[in-house]
Amino acid sequence: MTKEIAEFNKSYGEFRDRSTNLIGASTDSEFVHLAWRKNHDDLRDLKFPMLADTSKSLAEELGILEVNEKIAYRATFIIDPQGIVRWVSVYDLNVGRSVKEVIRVLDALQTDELCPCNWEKGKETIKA
Amino acid sequence: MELTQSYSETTQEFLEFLKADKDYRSDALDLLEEGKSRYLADLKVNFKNSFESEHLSKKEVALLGVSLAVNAGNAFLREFFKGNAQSEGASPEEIAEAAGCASLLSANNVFYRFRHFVNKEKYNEIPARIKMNIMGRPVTGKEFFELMSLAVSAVNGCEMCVKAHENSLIELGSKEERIFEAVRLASVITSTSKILY
Repeated sequence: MTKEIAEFNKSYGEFRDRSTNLIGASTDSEFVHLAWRKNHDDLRDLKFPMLADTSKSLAEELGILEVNEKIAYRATFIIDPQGIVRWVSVYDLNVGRSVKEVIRVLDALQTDELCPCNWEKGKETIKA
Repeated sequence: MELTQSYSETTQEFLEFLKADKDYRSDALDLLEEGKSRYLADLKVNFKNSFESEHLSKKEVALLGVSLAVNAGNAFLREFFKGNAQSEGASPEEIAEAAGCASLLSANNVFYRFRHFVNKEKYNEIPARIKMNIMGRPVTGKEFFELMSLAVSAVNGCEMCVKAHENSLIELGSKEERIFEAVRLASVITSTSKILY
């Protein structure tokens, strides 16, 4: 888990350049989070906030709380500026996330071609 | 005058990626920085995205980079791509050919574009008298030499050249995706060369 947070941290610049905020969340308390940050070299300069979802309510509402053991699956959500979830990725507990894949999807979701050179006759004009 | 130390994080990360000197600066970069332009993030993202390609190997990206930087007359990018090509295993011969290709194609782009503009049979008949020996048996291989030629021609804006090289590439078995990636790389290097030089 810490390795994944460290990976996201290393790529912080990539998300910032894409006007994207990073928020980490786990069901551990803020004290546990602080302990991690103090004890892991990779996390000492963590550039984004961690949410302490101690009541597990957020995980439950997001639909990622395993029913029997009540552990949260590892999930990544991409949420657009209107608050709509545009991509969800959920992995089994043993499989690590790929930050590269998250960035790839982010690039695909974000509007890029705003140039009218791409406009075809009859199509709506560009609204950015 | 803006000092490198006060460049934004985005710019500093980008310059580090490009292996720039600690005190590197450029006037155009200063303009963007002074206006806190959002463009810098896009430029960096575009460059880094083109740098990694599904259809071009890292060595090919580097050699294309050398060729395009030479075509642009851009020392900063030329040095970056040269170092990059070397670390990806390009030989001095291959790097030299990339530079030679840019130079030769620049001549051809002027020349064939003229013939195409005027479209008079007489100009097609008069012998070109421009030596193009390096096209004969390219060290980088026929397909890749054509790819570099296409990229340079796309930048220099010779329609006839672009069409001819694209056609050769398809006949040699290259996929459109690969050709497109090379042109995207050429576009991005061109835009970068306006800011970093």
